[in-house]
Amino acid sequence: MELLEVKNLSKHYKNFDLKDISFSLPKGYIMGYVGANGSGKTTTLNLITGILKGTEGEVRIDGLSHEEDMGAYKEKIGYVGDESYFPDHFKIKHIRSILKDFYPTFSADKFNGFIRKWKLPENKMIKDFSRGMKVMLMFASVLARETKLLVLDEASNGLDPVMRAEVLRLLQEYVMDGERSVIFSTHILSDLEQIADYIYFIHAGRTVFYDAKDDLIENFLLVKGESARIPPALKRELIGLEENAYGFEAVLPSDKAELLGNAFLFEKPTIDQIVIHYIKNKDMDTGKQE
Amino acid sequence: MRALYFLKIDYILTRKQMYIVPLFFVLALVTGKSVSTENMSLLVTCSYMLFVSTIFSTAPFGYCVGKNRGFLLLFPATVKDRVAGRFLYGISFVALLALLCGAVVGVYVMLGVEIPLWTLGAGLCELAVGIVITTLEILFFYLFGEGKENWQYLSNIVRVAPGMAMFFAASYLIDDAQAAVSGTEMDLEVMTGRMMQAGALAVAAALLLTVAAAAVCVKVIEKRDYA
Amino acid sequence: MKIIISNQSELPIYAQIREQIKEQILNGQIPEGETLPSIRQLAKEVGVSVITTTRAYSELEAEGFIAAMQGKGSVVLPTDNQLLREQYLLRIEEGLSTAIETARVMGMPKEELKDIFDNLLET
Repeated sequence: MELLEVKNLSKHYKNFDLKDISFSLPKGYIMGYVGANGSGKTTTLNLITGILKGTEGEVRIDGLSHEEDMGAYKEKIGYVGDESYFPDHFKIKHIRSILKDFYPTFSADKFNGFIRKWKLPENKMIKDFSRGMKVMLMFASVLARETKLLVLDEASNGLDPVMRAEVLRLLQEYVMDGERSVIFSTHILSDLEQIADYIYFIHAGRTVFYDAKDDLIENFLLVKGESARIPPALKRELIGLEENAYGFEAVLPSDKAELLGNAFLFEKPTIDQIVIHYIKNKDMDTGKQE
Repeated sequence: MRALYFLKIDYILTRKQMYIVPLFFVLALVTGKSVSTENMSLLVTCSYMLFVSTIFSTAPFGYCVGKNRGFLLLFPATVKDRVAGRFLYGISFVALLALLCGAVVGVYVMLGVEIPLWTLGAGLCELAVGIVITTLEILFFYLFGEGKENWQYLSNIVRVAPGMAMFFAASYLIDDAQAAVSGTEMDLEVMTGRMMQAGALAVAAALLLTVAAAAVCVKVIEKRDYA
Repeated sequence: MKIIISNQSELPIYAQIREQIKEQILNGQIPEGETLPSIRQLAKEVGVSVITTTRAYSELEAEGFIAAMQGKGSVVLPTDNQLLREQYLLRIEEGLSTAIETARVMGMPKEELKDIFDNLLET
């Protein structure tokens, strides 16, 4: 059963186009939405939360679209951004009281539990919180109510390792019951890579690939060796060839492994390495067209 | 109902300025005392209060810009709820200061100062003007500047200028009105009745304008991103 | 049950999990009839994706080490002697193949290799 369905989502801007984003994320899974800065990650996530309006396309959460029932749709979403979205001059008590107003499923007890656990200061204004505190307050505010989908926009940026580990644990706990899902955007995968089930890679507003992470890692090889020895047949298949004075590094689809022979070193790539070489490849392609 | 939640948010956003409100009350009392030899001058004090109210009534726009607005946009509420809440804030703030004006007048009546009834009608007219100014300011902010950062400077002018103009115009008109009243041959009772009628009509018309402006804002904002 | 994931390993994570569970079933650390943690529980404990643990379990199932029981989770099956024998055989073959491969690379004659093997057996 799909929790999040995105169909042909497009958003047209004067100097940027997000085009034909389509994917579905099943219940109980975590998806990483990956791309360089400015590739359209935040635009996509804002279209999903409904605070942006798409030029074309459709988003459904748990079968429901924004147009059908905006209130119910928004209640299903818990959003954590890269910056605090709370008014600077609010204190925790204000946020608690307002969340109680707007969300019928909000539990003040749960909320207070998080506040105590993460030692968030009750008497300070949000603007005096540290970055980490702001992020954890956003998590507290969404985890204290019933949601179906967590949407995280670069939420773990700038968190210290201890808090990042806490966030990972939270996300895995969130999908534990197999009914709820997480989509997070990031430009660096690092530790989040481990828990992601699916990876969606976007570049310059276009889809590059979408697949189960384990399959992605298996479908590619990271190849290294001496530049002079690359046969032309291999060179055609290499993705994002990066050469320096001592050799080259590139990504190769695993089914082309027989082209390698014994002359090159190859190993299991990380998602980051696949992404980096893909971006390099795309940039070379656009370079050719110009 | 959700409009009231947004109203509450606006009051929390601007809670600091609520601490200043009693100060204006005291100020109005004191200045009222110094000019109350001519009893109509209480109207000057009252128009000053309304001037203050038109500045304060759009304060939430200044407190809630850029990223700070995210919280509000994510709520399961309609644009209508949010806009209604903001207009309610503006109008309720003007109404609050109008009540304080009433309190100032009340204090003077108790102190034995005679205040002619027709000034109440004039006060209602001033209230109507206050509502209109607040309405137009909110309309302006919604149409041109909602959520924009780096907008503080212009927004301060927009917030202060109309109220100030009203205040000076009122001071000027009050002198005229005073002259007119003392020169008129009309029966005081008839005139009081007419003034009251005019005041009530003006307030009703102003509130209608507010509703219309709110409807325009909803129509325009619903089409926008980040709304 | 112990599972340690290495990011340096050439083995994919699902295979590392599969191998470590298999190892512990074979040496009796996880007894027959024991219920393994759920796929999602394990993913959370180890800090890997659900798809990864799902794959590890389904491969263990295919190899006959565990079975998914309705409402009970994944249960360790009895490792009958045949299965055990096969697994050990497989390992012996793997180890010997590595040795033979190395001998070939350096061009060692068959007899010399057999001598080494015999010598090692006697020590």
